[in-house]
Amino acid sequence: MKVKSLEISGVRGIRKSIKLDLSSSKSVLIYGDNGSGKSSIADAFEWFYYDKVKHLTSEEIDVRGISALRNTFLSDDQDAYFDLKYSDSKYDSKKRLFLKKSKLTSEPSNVSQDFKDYLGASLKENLILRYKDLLRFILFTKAEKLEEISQIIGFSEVSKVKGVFKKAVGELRTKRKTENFDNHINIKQSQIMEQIGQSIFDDNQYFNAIKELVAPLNLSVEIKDDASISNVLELLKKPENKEAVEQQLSYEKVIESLNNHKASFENIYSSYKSFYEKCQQIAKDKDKLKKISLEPLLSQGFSILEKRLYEEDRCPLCLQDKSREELIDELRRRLEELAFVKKEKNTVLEEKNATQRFIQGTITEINSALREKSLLLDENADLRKQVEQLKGIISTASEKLQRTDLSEIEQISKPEDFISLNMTFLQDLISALADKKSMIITGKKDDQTFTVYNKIFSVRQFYGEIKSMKRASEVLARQQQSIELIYNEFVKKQREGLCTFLDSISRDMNDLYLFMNASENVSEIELIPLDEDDEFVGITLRFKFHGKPESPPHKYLSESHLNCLGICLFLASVKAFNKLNKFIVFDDVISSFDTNHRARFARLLVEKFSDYQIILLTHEKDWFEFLSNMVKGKNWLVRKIKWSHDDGAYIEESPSALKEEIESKIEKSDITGLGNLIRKYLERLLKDVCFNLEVKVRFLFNEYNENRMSNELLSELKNKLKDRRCELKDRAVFERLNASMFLGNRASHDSTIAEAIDDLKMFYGDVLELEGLFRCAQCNSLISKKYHDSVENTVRCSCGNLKYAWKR
Amino acid sequence: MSSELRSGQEILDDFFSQIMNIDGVDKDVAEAVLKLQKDGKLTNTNLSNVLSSIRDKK
Repeated sequence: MKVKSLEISGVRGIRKSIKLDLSSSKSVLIYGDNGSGKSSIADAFEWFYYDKVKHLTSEEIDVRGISALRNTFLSDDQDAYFDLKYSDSKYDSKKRLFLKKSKLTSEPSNVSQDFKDYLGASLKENLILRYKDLLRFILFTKAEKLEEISQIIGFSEVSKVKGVFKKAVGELRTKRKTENFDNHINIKQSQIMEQIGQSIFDDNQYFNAIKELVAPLNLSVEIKDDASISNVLELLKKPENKEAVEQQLSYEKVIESLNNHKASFENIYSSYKSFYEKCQQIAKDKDKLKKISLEPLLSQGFSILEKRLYEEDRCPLCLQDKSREELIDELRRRLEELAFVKKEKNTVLEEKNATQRFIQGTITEINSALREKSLLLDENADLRKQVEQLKGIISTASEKLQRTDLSEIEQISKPEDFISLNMTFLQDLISALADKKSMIITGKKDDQTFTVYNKIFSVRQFYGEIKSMKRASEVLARQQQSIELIYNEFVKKQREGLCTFLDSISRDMNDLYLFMNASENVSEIELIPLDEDDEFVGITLRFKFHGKPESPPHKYLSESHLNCLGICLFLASVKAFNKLNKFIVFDDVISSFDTNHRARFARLLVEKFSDYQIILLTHEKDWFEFLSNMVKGKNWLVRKIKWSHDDGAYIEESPSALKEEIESKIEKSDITGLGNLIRKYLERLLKDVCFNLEVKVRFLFNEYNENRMSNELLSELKNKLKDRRCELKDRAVFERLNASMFLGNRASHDSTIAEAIDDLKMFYGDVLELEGLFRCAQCNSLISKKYHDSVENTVRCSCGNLKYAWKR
Repeated sequence: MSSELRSGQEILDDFFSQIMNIDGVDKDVAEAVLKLQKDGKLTNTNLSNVLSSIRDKK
């Protein structure tokens, strides 16, 4: 998509409409002095696409900078607008900025979905580059560079998905650890061992063990599956036996929980110890954590310096003398240090959370034990109290942990003060419960049916639980493995994507930079991803300086070279991202370049970006002249933008374009603005004539000199002709023009006098007559002092066909 | 963006179109992840819940 034409009115310095016809995909070079309004063109583009103008946003204006966008001289009922026509007309739109109930409102004329989609897609493209944005990316911190690129290529969504997988991997790992299936299975195996003196690892061993238990009873049941074991239990079942076995199993459960408690306690202790040790690391620099609170201040300061909102070479806080570059460097370094501290703090908090999870798991297990039938018996009230004491120890630890505050790190308890387990107490409790359980069996030790029933019932229960835990453990392990494989594959794809992208951008940026800086000592410029633990943490810009790898660029490169790097990065991004738009706006980007780099940048645009439509705005006169010559015959439009008190910014028409427009209007008898056009044409003509004949006028400063009125020039020209006794001095056309100029002036100001087409035709006829006196019809050049013949006392045009007396 | 470069979304699309073919990944897990992504619900909580539900079923 290229721009076919644009018309801007009422935007910033552009009070009246300016138009540019860029049909045939013309690029355009516009020169304008500072304050002439050329940046208003870039502002209009920014507003059109982004609905805000970043450099105008401030607390005192508004968040989108819109209130500063509207030309201050517009009346309330006048609209500001930007009318853009494209190579594909379905996207043509005129965006208006107008007052609606005293509120500034923006509205595009094109409300089609196509246009909305186009605008949305254009937001991801690089369309405008301004001088002040050149160093933005280069001076970013590593993390900001990553953030910027991630946002542009939609990597933030990728990072989000990766975060989900990473967290799932961590959770599954922790879950396997807290579930501690191996420990539970070992306990069950030891319980089986206690019952039948052997371990059971598979169904075959299980069935054989049951067969051996049943054998002495000579039952007519063949043990071959679970159903047959159920049949045996049914045959042996007596109500009192069932009750006794259930009670025994209840004791088993409590004993098992307490045995697990040892392992859980160790997990809590080691996790807390790790948390405590990390706290001690941070405590070595007590102020470290406090510094994190400075981050918003430092970030804001960095942003203010980077946007050049503060340009003094002194620290705005302590007022010490320090260059802006030094301040930026120092803030960048401190922000990177803080990012590291924040990471450290997060690791400590993760340890704290892990400890909390272990504590919660242990409390759940004790609660479950406290609900067991065996502990609810009156005879076991003391034992229950002891289990509650254990729970109390864990709950107290939980409260202590919740109270820990990293800002008071010295108050954090040592591991031995945080939690301690009286092993003798625990062991005595387990032994007491085991005795209670044994008493149930002891009373029935001579009852063979009960003994067999009890063993089969218990072994079936334990083995069933082992099988169930093994299955759960396998499923969990498979899930963990699956999510880890998914995560690893994802990281691989993400890495490939980012590296391919950075390689491509780096290649283009390097090529462009070397094109502009051939035979200098910089090479192999690269954007390098930085990662820690599979996590991208930033991007750095590395390059070779005198053959040695260096980073960052501002360590060695001059401001001019850094700006050059900024332009190359922008252009490389244009190549990478701009899918839809084939035009780019440059607003005064070469200000810090020396002559050599300016020439090379001009060549770069003309040679390497010839398939793009370039809208180039500059206030550098020499560069403008240089580029004007370079783009001759290359489908470029070259214009100057000027500013006048009455009109605001306006595009200075070339004489031929002015002439074309005047004649077209005369042909159509269209008097709108015609007088003004003729006046402008006359002014241009008189300036050229006076310049060539070295007509002296009174001294005026700068732009006032450029804005001289025709009557002054005409009067001085006549004086000069008289002085040189030139035969043109008495031509009647001078007097007629003096009278007609009134029309031109009237037409260019608000006036109630309506000019007639015949008057304007006459005015234009006089202008052409005047031109005919000074411009040779044969060579088209004006008579000039360059061709003064001091012997003949004449001046002439370049071919000599037009010649007049020029005497002293 | 030029053709050899891929946006974040393209990387995601490519990855999820291949998720069922990653060696060693449990089919139920891969299907669950894919469904969450297609429904725009791939969050920590949802993934954790769906994995827990798969474990309960097995």
